[in-house]
Amino acid sequence: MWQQLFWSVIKFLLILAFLSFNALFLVWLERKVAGFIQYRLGPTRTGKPHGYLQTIADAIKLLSKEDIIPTQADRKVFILAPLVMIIPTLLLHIVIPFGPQLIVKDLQNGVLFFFAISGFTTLAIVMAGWAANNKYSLIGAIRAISQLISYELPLIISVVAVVILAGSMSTETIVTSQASWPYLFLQPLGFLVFMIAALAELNRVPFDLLEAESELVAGYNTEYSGMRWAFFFLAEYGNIAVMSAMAVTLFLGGWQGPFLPPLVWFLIKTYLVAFVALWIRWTFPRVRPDQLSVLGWKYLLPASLVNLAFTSIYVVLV
Amino acid sequence: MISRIGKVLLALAQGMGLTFKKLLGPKYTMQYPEERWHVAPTFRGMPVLLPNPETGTAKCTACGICARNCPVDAIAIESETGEDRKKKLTGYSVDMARCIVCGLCAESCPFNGLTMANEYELAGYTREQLVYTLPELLAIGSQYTFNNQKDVPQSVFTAYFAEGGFCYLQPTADEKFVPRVPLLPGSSRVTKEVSQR
Repeated sequence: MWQQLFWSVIKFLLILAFLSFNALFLVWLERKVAGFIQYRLGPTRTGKPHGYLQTIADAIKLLSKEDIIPTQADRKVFILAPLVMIIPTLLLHIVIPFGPQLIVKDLQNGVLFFFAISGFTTLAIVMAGWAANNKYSLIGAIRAISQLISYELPLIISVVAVVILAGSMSTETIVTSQASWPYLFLQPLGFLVFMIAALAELNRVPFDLLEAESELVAGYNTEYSGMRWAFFFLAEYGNIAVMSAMAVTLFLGGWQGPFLPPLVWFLIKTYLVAFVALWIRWTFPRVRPDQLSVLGWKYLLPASLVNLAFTSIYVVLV
Repeated sequence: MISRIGKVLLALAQGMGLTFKKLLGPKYTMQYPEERWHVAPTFRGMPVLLPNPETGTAKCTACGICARNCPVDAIAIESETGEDRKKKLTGYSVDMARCIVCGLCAESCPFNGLTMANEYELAGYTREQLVYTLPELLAIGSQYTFNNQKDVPQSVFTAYFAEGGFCYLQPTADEKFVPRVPLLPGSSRVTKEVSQR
Protein backbone atom coordinates (compact mmCIF):
# COMPACT_ATOMS: atom_id res chain seq x y z
CA MET A 1 0.00 0.00 0.00
CA TRP A 2 2.82 2.40 0.98
CA GLN A 3 4.74 1.40 -2.12
CA GLN A 4 1.74 2.24 -4.28
CA LEU A 5 1.41 5.62 -2.60
CA PHE A 6 5.12 6.29 -3.11
CA TRP A 7 4.90 5.55 -6.83
CA SER A 8 1.76 7.68 -7.16
CA VAL A 9 3.58 10.64 -5.63
CA ILE A 10 6.57 10.09 -7.93
CA LYS A 11 4.30 9.96 -10.98
CA PHE A 12 2.44 13.09 -9.87
CA LEU A 13 5.70 14.99 -9.44
CA LEU A 14 6.91 13.84 -12.87
CA ILE A 15 3.68 15.04 -14.48
CA LEU A 16 3.95 18.35 -12.64
CA ALA A 17 7.54 18.73 -13.84
CA PHE A 18 6.53 17.89 -17.43
CA LEU A 19 3.65 20.39 -17.27
CA SER A 20 5.83 23.18 -15.84
CA PHE A 21 8.58 22.50 -18.35
CA ASN A 22 6.07 22.61 -21.22
CA ALA A 23 4.63 25.91 -20.06
CA LEU A 24 8.06 27.51 -19.73
CA PHE A 25 9.45 25.99 -22.93
CA LEU A 26 6.39 26.61 -25.12
CA VAL A 27 6.00 30.24 -24.03
CA TRP A 28 9.66 30.78 -24.90
CA LEU A 29 9.21 28.92 -28.20
CA GLU A 30 6.05 30.89 -28.98
CA ARG A 31 7.86 34.20 -28.50
CA LYS A 32 10.78 33.01 -30.60
CA VAL A 33 8.54 31.72 -33.41
CA ALA A 34 6.48 34.92 -33.31
CA GLY A 35 9.62 37.02 -33.51
CA PHE A 36 11.21 35.02 -36.29
CA ILE A 37 8.07 35.07 -38.43
CA GLN A 38 7.87 38.86 -37.99
CA TYR A 39 11.59 39.40 -38.92
CA ARG A 40 12.40 39.95 -35.23
CA LEU A 41 14.66 38.01 -32.87
CA GLY A 42 12.34 37.47 -29.90
CA PRO A 43 13.81 37.44 -26.39
CA THR A 44 17.63 37.58 -26.43
CA ARG A 45 18.76 39.28 -23.21
CA THR A 46 17.73 37.13 -20.25
CA GLY A 47 19.89 34.04 -20.62
CA LYS A 48 22.08 35.03 -23.55
CA PRO A 49 22.27 34.45 -26.44
CA HIS A 50 18.72 33.17 -27.05
CA GLY A 51 16.80 34.29 -23.96
CA TYR A 52 16.53 30.79 -22.48
CA LEU A 53 15.80 32.16 -18.99
CA GLN A 54 13.17 34.69 -20.13
CA THR A 55 10.12 32.62 -19.16
CA ILE A 56 11.67 31.64 -15.80
CA ALA A 57 12.15 35.34 -15.05
CA ASP A 58 8.55 35.98 -16.15
CA ALA A 59 7.29 33.19 -13.89
CA ILE A 60 9.16 34.58 -10.89
CA LYS A 61 7.73 38.02 -11.63
CA LEU A 62 4.16 36.67 -11.89
CA LEU A 63 4.46 34.70 -8.65
CA SER A 64 5.70 37.73 -6.72
CA LYS A 65 3.01 40.12 -7.95
CA GLU A 66 0.23 41.54 -5.80
CA ASP A 67 -2.86 39.32 -5.62
CA ILE A 68 -5.81 41.42 -6.82
CA ILE A 69 -9.44 40.31 -6.49
CA PRO A 70 -12.02 42.82 -7.81
CA THR A 71 -14.42 44.01 -5.07
CA GLN A 72 -17.48 43.20 -7.17
CA ALA A 73 -16.23 39.71 -8.05
CA ASP A 74 -17.75 36.48 -6.78
CA ARG A 75 -14.78 35.71 -4.50
CA LYS A 76 -15.13 31.95 -4.09
CA VAL A 77 -15.68 31.21 -7.77
CA PHE A 78 -13.00 33.71 -8.76
CA ILE A 79 -10.42 31.93 -6.59
CA LEU A 80 -11.61 28.47 -7.64
CA ALA A 81 -11.55 29.04 -11.44
CA PRO A 82 -7.74 28.84 -11.97
CA LEU A 83 -7.66 25.59 -9.97
CA VAL A 84 -10.51 24.12 -11.99
CA MET A 85 -8.50 25.12 -15.06
CA ILE A 86 -5.28 23.41 -13.98
CA ILE A 87 -6.70 20.14 -12.61
CA PRO A 88 -8.05 18.80 -15.96
CA THR A 89 -4.67 19.61 -17.51
CA LEU A 90 -2.96 17.45 -14.89
CA LEU A 91 -5.53 14.66 -15.29
CA LEU A 92 -5.09 14.61 -19.09
CA HIS A 93 -1.48 13.46 -18.64
CA ILE A 94 -2.68 10.20 -17.04
CA VAL A 95 -3.51 8.45 -20.32
CA ILE A 96 -0.60 9.75 -22.41
CA PRO A 97 1.76 6.88 -23.32
CA PHE A 98 5.27 8.37 -23.27
CA GLY A 99 6.79 5.04 -24.17
CA PRO A 100 6.12 1.30 -23.87
CA GLN A 101 4.91 0.76 -20.24
CA LEU A 102 5.71 4.46 -19.64
CA ILE A 103 2.20 5.59 -18.80
CA VAL A 104 0.61 6.66 -15.52
CA LYS A 105 -2.41 4.40 -15.98
CA ASP A 106 -3.39 2.60 -19.19
CA LEU A 107 -7.17 2.97 -18.85
CA GLN A 108 -9.40 0.68 -20.93
CA ASN A 109 -11.39 3.77 -22.00
CA GLY A 110 -8.38 6.11 -22.15
CA VAL A 111 -9.48 8.10 -25.20
CA LEU A 112 -12.96 8.65 -23.81
CA PHE A 113 -11.42 9.74 -20.49
CA PHE A 114 -9.12 12.19 -22.26
CA PHE A 115 -11.83 13.98 -24.24
CA ALA A 116 -14.31 13.93 -21.36
CA ILE A 117 -11.80 15.62 -19.06
CA SER A 118 -10.57 18.11 -21.67
CA GLY A 119 -14.12 19.48 -21.92
CA PHE A 120 -13.82 20.66 -18.30
CA THR A 121 -11.52 23.48 -19.42
CA THR A 122 -14.61 25.27 -20.69
CA LEU A 123 -16.20 25.01 -17.23
CA ALA A 124 -13.20 26.81 -15.72
CA ILE A 125 -13.44 29.50 -18.39
CA VAL A 126 -17.14 30.03 -17.72
CA MET A 127 -16.43 30.22 -13.97
CA ALA A 128 -13.68 32.78 -14.52
CA GLY A 129 -15.81 34.83 -16.92
CA TRP A 130 -18.85 34.81 -14.64
CA ALA A 131 -17.02 35.43 -11.34
CA ALA A 132 -15.00 38.41 -12.57
CA ASN A 133 -18.22 40.43 -13.01
CA ASN A 134 -16.81 42.15 -16.05
CA LYS A 135 -18.61 42.44 -19.39
CA TYR A 136 -15.55 41.40 -21.41
CA SER A 137 -14.97 38.35 -19.23
CA LEU A 138 -18.60 37.34 -19.54
CA ILE A 139 -18.66 37.74 -23.33
CA GLY A 140 -15.51 35.62 -23.48
CA ALA A 141 -17.17 32.93 -21.35
CA ILE A 142 -20.32 32.93 -23.50
CA ARG A 143 -18.19 32.57 -26.61
CA ALA A 144 -16.37 29.64 -25.01
CA ILE A 145 -19.69 27.78 -24.66
CA SER A 146 -20.88 28.50 -28.20
CA GLN A 147 -17.44 27.43 -29.45
CA LEU A 148 -17.56 24.21 -27.43
CA ILE A 149 -20.77 23.09 -29.15
CA SER A 150 -19.27 23.72 -32.60
CA TYR A 151 -15.95 21.89 -32.31
CA GLU A 152 -16.55 19.10 -29.76
CA LEU A 153 -18.63 16.92 -32.13
CA PRO A 154 -16.23 16.80 -35.12
CA LEU A 155 -13.29 16.38 -32.72
CA ILE A 156 -14.73 13.29 -31.07
CA ILE A 157 -16.15 11.78 -34.28
CA SER A 158 -12.74 12.07 -35.97
CA VAL A 159 -11.25 10.24 -32.98
CA VAL A 160 -13.96 7.54 -33.09
CA ALA A 161 -12.70 6.55 -36.56
CA VAL A 162 -9.25 5.90 -35.09
CA VAL A 163 -10.79 3.93 -32.23
CA ILE A 164 -12.66 1.77 -34.76
CA LEU A 165 -9.43 1.09 -36.68
CA ALA A 166 -7.51 0.19 -33.52
CA GLY A 167 -10.41 -1.74 -32.02
CA SER A 168 -9.67 -0.30 -28.60
CA MET A 169 -9.96 2.87 -26.56
CA SER A 170 -6.76 2.16 -24.65
CA THR A 171 -4.11 4.66 -25.75
CA GLU A 172 -1.33 2.09 -25.48
CA THR A 173 -3.18 -0.36 -27.74
CA ILE A 174 -3.81 2.42 -30.25
CA VAL A 175 -0.07 3.13 -30.41
CA THR A 176 0.94 -0.53 -30.75
CA SER A 177 -1.64 -1.07 -33.51
CA GLN A 178 0.18 1.63 -35.54
CA ALA A 179 3.36 -0.47 -35.70
CA SER A 180 3.26 -0.80 -39.53
CA TRP A 181 1.48 2.43 -40.56
CA PRO A 182 0.71 5.54 -38.52
CA TYR A 183 -3.00 6.32 -38.79
CA LEU A 184 -2.06 9.61 -40.47
CA PHE A 185 -1.82 7.70 -43.77
CA LEU A 186 -5.09 5.81 -43.26
CA GLN A 187 -6.94 8.85 -41.87
CA PRO A 188 -5.67 12.01 -43.62
CA LEU A 189 -9.12 13.62 -43.52
CA GLY A 190 -9.60 12.58 -39.90
CA PHE A 191 -6.22 14.06 -38.98
CA LEU A 192 -7.09 17.38 -40.66
CA VAL A 193 -10.44 17.59 -38.86
CA PHE A 194 -8.78 16.60 -35.59
CA MET A 195 -6.10 19.28 -35.88
CA ILE A 196 -8.60 22.05 -36.69
CA ALA A 197 -11.00 21.01 -33.94
CA ALA A 198 -8.11 20.58 -31.47
CA LEU A 199 -7.00 24.16 -32.15
CA ALA A 200 -10.54 25.27 -31.31
CA GLU A 201 -10.50 23.09 -28.19
CA LEU A 202 -7.21 24.71 -27.12
CA ASN A 203 -8.67 28.18 -27.78
CA ARG A 204 -5.72 29.00 -30.00
CA VAL A 205 -5.60 31.45 -32.89
CA PRO A 206 -7.44 31.36 -35.32
CA PHE A 207 -10.15 30.21 -32.86
CA ASP A 208 -9.20 32.27 -29.79
CA LEU A 209 -12.57 34.05 -29.77
CA LEU A 210 -12.86 33.92 -26.00
CA GLU A 211 -9.77 36.02 -25.39
CA ALA A 212 -9.80 38.01 -28.66
CA GLU A 213 -7.59 40.84 -27.42
CA SER A 214 -8.65 43.28 -30.13
CA GLU A 215 -12.32 43.13 -29.06
CA LEU A 216 -12.48 41.70 -25.53
CA VAL A 217 -9.34 43.13 -23.83
CA ALA A 218 -8.26 39.65 -22.66
CA GLY A 219 -11.58 37.81 -22.60
CA TYR A 220 -12.23 35.55 -19.62
CA ASN A 221 -8.95 36.39 -17.85
CA THR A 222 -9.30 40.19 -18.10
CA GLU A 223 -9.57 40.62 -14.32
CA TYR A 224 -6.88 38.08 -13.44
CA SER A 225 -3.31 39.02 -12.64
CA GLY A 226 -0.23 37.61 -10.97
CA MET A 227 -0.31 34.02 -9.81
CA ARG A 228 -3.91 33.25 -10.79
CA TRP A 229 -3.28 34.53 -14.28
CA ALA A 230 -0.10 32.42 -14.39
CA PHE A 231 -2.26 29.37 -13.60
CA PHE A 232 -4.40 30.05 -16.68
CA PHE A 233 -1.30 30.35 -18.79
CA LEU A 234 0.26 27.22 -17.30
CA ALA A 235 -2.94 25.35 -18.16
CA GLU A 236 -3.15 26.84 -21.67
CA TYR A 237 0.37 25.86 -22.66
CA GLY A 238 0.14 22.56 -20.79
CA ASN A 239 -3.00 21.83 -22.81
CA ILE A 240 -1.17 22.57 -26.06
CA ALA A 241 1.53 20.05 -25.15
CA VAL A 242 -0.88 17.38 -23.96
CA MET A 243 -3.17 17.80 -26.99
CA SER A 244 -0.13 17.55 -29.26
CA ALA A 245 0.82 14.38 -27.38
CA MET A 246 -2.68 13.02 -28.00
CA ALA A 247 -2.45 13.87 -31.72
CA VAL A 248 0.86 11.98 -31.80
CA THR A 249 -0.69 9.03 -29.98
CA LEU A 250 -3.75 8.83 -32.22
CA PHE A 251 -2.34 9.65 -35.65
CA LEU A 252 1.47 9.76 -35.72
CA GLY A 253 2.41 6.39 -34.24
CA GLY A 254 3.11 7.51 -30.69
CA TRP A 255 6.56 6.54 -29.37
CA GLN A 256 7.36 4.31 -32.34
CA GLY A 257 10.23 5.17 -34.67
CA PRO A 258 13.61 3.83 -35.81
CA PHE A 259 17.03 4.27 -34.13
CA LEU A 260 16.13 6.64 -31.28
CA PRO A 261 14.69 5.53 -27.92
CA PRO A 262 10.85 5.61 -27.69
CA LEU A 263 10.67 8.54 -25.25
CA VAL A 264 12.85 10.71 -27.52
CA TRP A 265 10.69 9.89 -30.53
CA PHE A 266 7.58 10.74 -28.57
CA LEU A 267 8.93 14.12 -27.42
CA ILE A 268 10.23 15.02 -30.89
CA LYS A 269 6.84 14.31 -32.47
CA THR A 270 4.95 16.11 -29.69
CA TYR A 271 6.99 19.30 -29.94
CA LEU A 272 6.75 19.21 -33.75
CA VAL A 273 2.94 19.17 -33.51
CA ALA A 274 3.09 21.92 -30.85
CA PHE A 275 5.32 23.93 -33.18
CA VAL A 276 2.70 23.60 -35.93
CA ALA A 277 0.12 25.04 -33.51
CA LEU A 278 2.38 28.03 -32.83
CA TRP A 279 3.17 28.39 -36.53
CA ILE A 280 -0.57 28.52 -37.35
CA ARG A 281 -1.11 31.13 -34.66
CA TRP A 282 1.36 33.56 -36.21
CA THR A 283 0.10 32.94 -39.76
CA PHE A 284 -3.68 33.25 -39.70
CA PRO A 285 -6.06 35.97 -38.48
CA ARG A 286 -8.87 35.24 -36.03
CA VAL A 287 -12.22 33.96 -37.40
CA ARG A 288 -15.56 35.52 -36.49
CA PRO A 289 -17.85 33.58 -34.12
CA ASP A 290 -20.32 32.87 -36.94
CA GLN A 291 -17.49 31.69 -39.20
CA LEU A 292 -16.39 29.26 -36.51
CA SER A 293 -19.94 27.87 -36.23
CA VAL A 294 -20.18 27.55 -40.04
CA LEU A 295 -16.80 25.81 -40.15
CA GLY A 296 -17.75 23.44 -37.35
CA TRP A 297 -21.28 22.50 -38.44
CA LYS A 298 -21.15 22.77 -42.23
CA TYR A 299 -17.66 21.50 -43.02
CA LEU A 300 -15.93 19.70 -40.13
CA LEU A 301 -18.95 17.70 -38.93
CA PRO A 302 -19.91 16.33 -42.40
CA ALA A 303 -16.24 15.65 -43.17
CA SER A 304 -15.77 13.71 -39.93
CA LEU A 305 -19.01 11.79 -40.51
CA VAL A 306 -17.95 10.83 -44.05
CA ASN A 307 -14.58 9.80 -42.65
CA LEU A 308 -16.28 7.71 -39.96
CA ALA A 309 -18.60 6.02 -42.51
CA PHE A 310 -15.77 5.08 -44.87
CA THR A 311 -13.63 3.85 -41.98
CA SER A 312 -16.50 1.65 -40.72
CA ILE A 313 -17.05 0.18 -44.20
CA TYR A 314 -13.30 -0.43 -44.56
CA VAL A 315 -13.11 -2.21 -41.20
CA VAL A 316 -16.18 -4.36 -41.96
CA LEU A 317 -14.99 -5.36 -45.46
CA VAL A 318 -11.26 -5.89 -44.84
CA MET B 1 -18.07 23.02 -53.59
CA ILE B 2 -15.19 20.53 -53.48
CA SER B 3 -13.02 22.75 -55.70
CA ARG B 4 -13.76 25.72 -53.43
CA ILE B 5 -12.63 23.77 -50.37
CA GLY B 6 -9.52 22.76 -52.30
CA LYS B 7 -8.81 26.40 -53.17
CA VAL B 8 -9.20 27.45 -49.53
CA LEU B 9 -6.88 24.68 -48.31
CA LEU B 10 -4.33 25.62 -50.97
CA ALA B 11 -4.47 29.28 -49.90
CA LEU B 12 -3.99 28.29 -46.26
CA ALA B 13 -1.01 26.13 -47.21
CA GLN B 14 0.49 29.02 -49.20
CA GLY B 15 0.15 31.28 -46.16
CA MET B 16 1.88 28.72 -43.96
CA GLY B 17 4.64 28.41 -46.56
CA LEU B 18 5.18 32.16 -46.61
CA THR B 19 5.50 32.46 -42.83
CA PHE B 20 7.86 29.47 -42.75
CA LYS B 21 10.06 31.15 -45.34
CA LYS B 22 10.14 34.31 -43.23
CA LEU B 23 10.88 32.19 -40.15
CA LEU B 24 14.15 31.12 -41.75
CA GLY B 25 14.88 34.47 -43.43
CA PRO B 26 17.04 37.39 -42.22
CA LYS B 27 16.09 39.27 -39.02
CA TYR B 28 16.16 43.04 -38.87
CA THR B 29 16.26 43.68 -35.11
CA MET B 30 19.08 46.05 -34.14
CA GLN B 31 20.80 44.71 -31.03
CA TYR B 32 21.23 48.11 -29.39
CA PRO B 33 23.53 49.02 -27.65
CA GLU B 34 25.90 46.44 -29.18
CA GLU B 35 24.74 47.49 -32.63
CA ARG B 36 24.17 51.10 -33.58
CA TRP B 37 22.85 53.20 -36.42
CA HIS B 38 25.32 54.14 -39.11
CA VAL B 39 24.27 57.78 -38.87
CA ALA B 40 24.29 60.15 -41.84
CA PRO B 41 26.99 62.87 -42.14
CA THR B 42 24.36 65.56 -41.55
CA PHE B 43 22.91 63.80 -38.49
CA ARG B 44 21.87 66.22 -35.73
CA GLY B 45 22.99 65.08 -32.28
CA MET B 46 24.14 67.49 -29.60
CA PRO B 47 25.82 70.75 -30.72
CA VAL B 48 29.56 70.84 -30.04
CA LEU B 49 32.38 73.37 -30.62
CA LEU B 50 34.87 72.76 -33.41
CA PRO B 51 38.55 73.35 -32.56
CA ASN B 52 40.94 75.47 -34.60
CA PRO B 53 43.24 72.84 -36.17
CA GLU B 54 46.34 75.06 -35.63
CA THR B 55 45.90 76.13 -32.02
CA GLY B 56 43.51 73.49 -30.70
CA THR B 57 41.31 76.13 -29.07
CA ALA B 58 37.71 76.77 -30.10
CA LYS B 59 37.08 78.47 -33.43
CA CYS B 60 34.23 80.35 -31.72
CA THR B 61 34.63 84.15 -31.64
CA ALA B 62 31.93 84.69 -29.02
CA CYS B 63 29.81 86.71 -31.44
CA GLY B 64 26.64 85.28 -29.86
CA ILE B 65 24.66 84.63 -33.07
CA CYS B 66 24.10 80.99 -32.07
CA ALA B 67 22.77 81.98 -28.65
CA ARG B 68 20.41 84.52 -30.24
CA ASN B 69 19.21 81.98 -32.81
CA CYS B 70 18.56 79.31 -30.20
CA PRO B 71 14.75 78.99 -29.90
CA VAL B 72 14.93 77.45 -26.42
CA ASP B 73 17.74 79.57 -24.98
CA ALA B 74 19.97 76.57 -24.32
CA ILE B 75 23.29 78.28 -25.19
CA ALA B 76 25.09 80.59 -22.80
CA ILE B 77 28.30 82.40 -23.82
CA GLU B 78 30.82 84.14 -21.54
CA SER B 79 33.44 86.43 -23.03
CA GLU B 80 35.81 89.21 -22.02
CA THR B 81 37.43 92.02 -24.02
CA GLY B 82 41.20 91.57 -24.17
CA GLU B 83 43.90 94.27 -24.23
CA ASP B 84 43.82 94.29 -28.04
CA ARG B 85 40.11 95.24 -27.75
CA LYS B 86 39.09 91.85 -29.21
CA LYS B 87 36.39 89.64 -27.68
CA LYS B 88 37.80 86.45 -26.17
CA LEU B 89 35.74 83.32 -25.41
CA THR B 90 35.98 82.33 -21.73
CA GLY B 91 32.94 80.12 -21.30
CA TYR B 92 30.39 78.31 -23.48
CA SER B 93 27.65 76.05 -22.19
CA VAL B 94 24.86 74.06 -23.82
CA ASP B 95 22.00 72.94 -21.56
CA MET B 96 20.98 69.60 -23.08
CA ALA B 97 17.91 69.52 -20.84
CA ARG B 98 16.63 72.43 -22.97
CA CYS B 99 18.25 71.72 -26.35
CA ILE B 100 15.86 70.40 -28.98
CA VAL B 101 18.68 69.48 -31.39
CA CYS B 102 17.21 71.68 -34.15
CA GLY B 103 20.64 72.60 -35.50
CA LEU B 104 19.88 76.33 -35.93
CA CYS B 105 23.04 77.24 -33.93
CA ALA B 106 25.36 75.35 -36.24
CA GLU B 107 23.45 76.51 -39.32
CA SER B 108 23.73 80.18 -38.35
CA CYS B 109 27.37 80.15 -37.24
CA PRO B 110 29.31 82.46 -39.64
CA PHE B 111 32.69 80.98 -38.61
CA ASN B 112 31.74 77.30 -38.75
CA GLY B 113 32.73 77.06 -35.11
CA LEU B 114 29.83 74.71 -34.28
CA THR B 115 28.72 71.33 -35.56
CA MET B 116 26.00 68.85 -34.61
CA ALA B 117 27.80 65.79 -33.22
CA ASN B 118 26.63 62.20 -33.65
CA GLU B 119 26.04 61.91 -29.90
CA TYR B 120 22.45 60.91 -29.30
CA GLU B 121 22.68 59.24 -25.88
CA LEU B 122 21.93 62.47 -24.04
CA ALA B 123 20.38 61.25 -20.80
CA GLY B 124 21.74 62.08 -17.33
CA TYR B 125 20.91 61.55 -13.69
CA THR B 126 20.80 65.23 -12.70
CA ARG B 127 20.00 68.50 -14.45
CA GLU B 128 23.51 69.76 -13.68
CA GLN B 129 24.97 66.76 -15.47
CA LEU B 130 23.18 67.83 -18.65
CA VAL B 131 24.84 71.25 -18.84
CA TYR B 132 27.90 70.78 -21.06
CA THR B 133 30.72 73.29 -20.54
CA LEU B 134 33.42 74.64 -22.88
CA PRO B 135 36.10 71.94 -22.29
CA GLU B 136 33.53 69.13 -22.63
CA LEU B 137 32.07 70.55 -25.84
CA LEU B 138 35.56 71.05 -27.25
CA ALA B 139 36.62 67.51 -26.31
CA ILE B 140 33.71 65.97 -28.23
CA GLY B 141 34.09 68.53 -31.03
CA SER B 142 37.74 67.62 -31.59
CA GLN B 143 36.52 64.37 -33.24
CA TYR B 144 34.92 66.42 -36.03
CA THR B 145 36.49 68.54 -38.74
CA PHE B 146 33.64 70.43 -40.40
CA ASN B 147 30.25 71.97 -39.66
CA ASN B 148 27.81 69.29 -40.80
CA GLN B 149 24.86 71.68 -41.06
CA LYS B 150 26.44 73.96 -43.69
CA ASP B 151 28.32 73.46 -46.97
CA VAL B 152 28.91 69.72 -46.53
CA PRO B 153 31.25 68.51 -49.31
CA GLN B 154 29.85 65.91 -51.72
CA SER B 155 32.79 63.57 -50.94
CA VAL B 156 31.44 63.11 -47.40
CA PHE B 157 28.17 61.72 -48.74
CA THR B 158 30.00 59.52 -51.23
CA ALA B 159 32.11 58.10 -48.41
CA TYR B 160 29.01 57.55 -46.26
CA PHE B 161 27.25 55.50 -48.93
CA ALA B 162 30.46 53.62 -49.71
CA GLU B 163 30.50 52.59 -46.04
CA GLY B 164 27.05 51.01 -46.39
CA GLY B 165 24.69 53.96 -46.21
CA PHE B 166 21.74 53.77 -43.85
CA CYS B 167 22.42 50.54 -41.93
CA TYR B 168 23.36 49.03 -38.61
CA LEU B 169 26.92 48.96 -37.37
CA GLN B 170 28.03 45.70 -35.82
CA PRO B 171 30.91 45.54 -33.34
CA THR B 172 34.00 43.46 -34.14
CA ALA B 173 36.63 42.05 -31.79
CA ASP B 174 38.81 45.19 -31.97
CA GLU B 175 35.83 47.40 -31.04
CA LYS B 176 35.34 48.78 -34.52
CA PHE B 177 31.84 48.94 -35.97
CA VAL B 178 31.01 47.18 -39.23
CA PRO B 179 27.88 47.76 -41.35
CA ARG B 180 25.49 44.82 -41.18
CA VAL B 181 22.10 45.09 -42.89
CA PRO B 182 21.68 47.61 -45.69
CA LEU B 183 18.25 49.16 -45.24
CA LEU B 184 18.05 51.43 -48.27
CA PRO B 185 17.07 49.73 -51.52
CA GLY B 186 19.98 49.67 -53.92
CA SER B 187 22.75 49.96 -51.36
CA SER B 188 24.68 46.72 -51.31
CA ARG B 189 26.04 44.70 -48.40
CA VAL B 190 29.43 46.17 -47.50
CA THR B 191 31.93 44.63 -45.10
CA LYS B 192 34.50 47.43 -45.10
CA GLU B 193 35.30 48.54 -41.58
CA VAL B 194 34.19 51.93 -40.34
CA SER B 195 35.85 53.51 -37.33
CA GLN B 196 33.68 54.02 -34.28
CA ARG B 197 32.26 57.48 -33.97
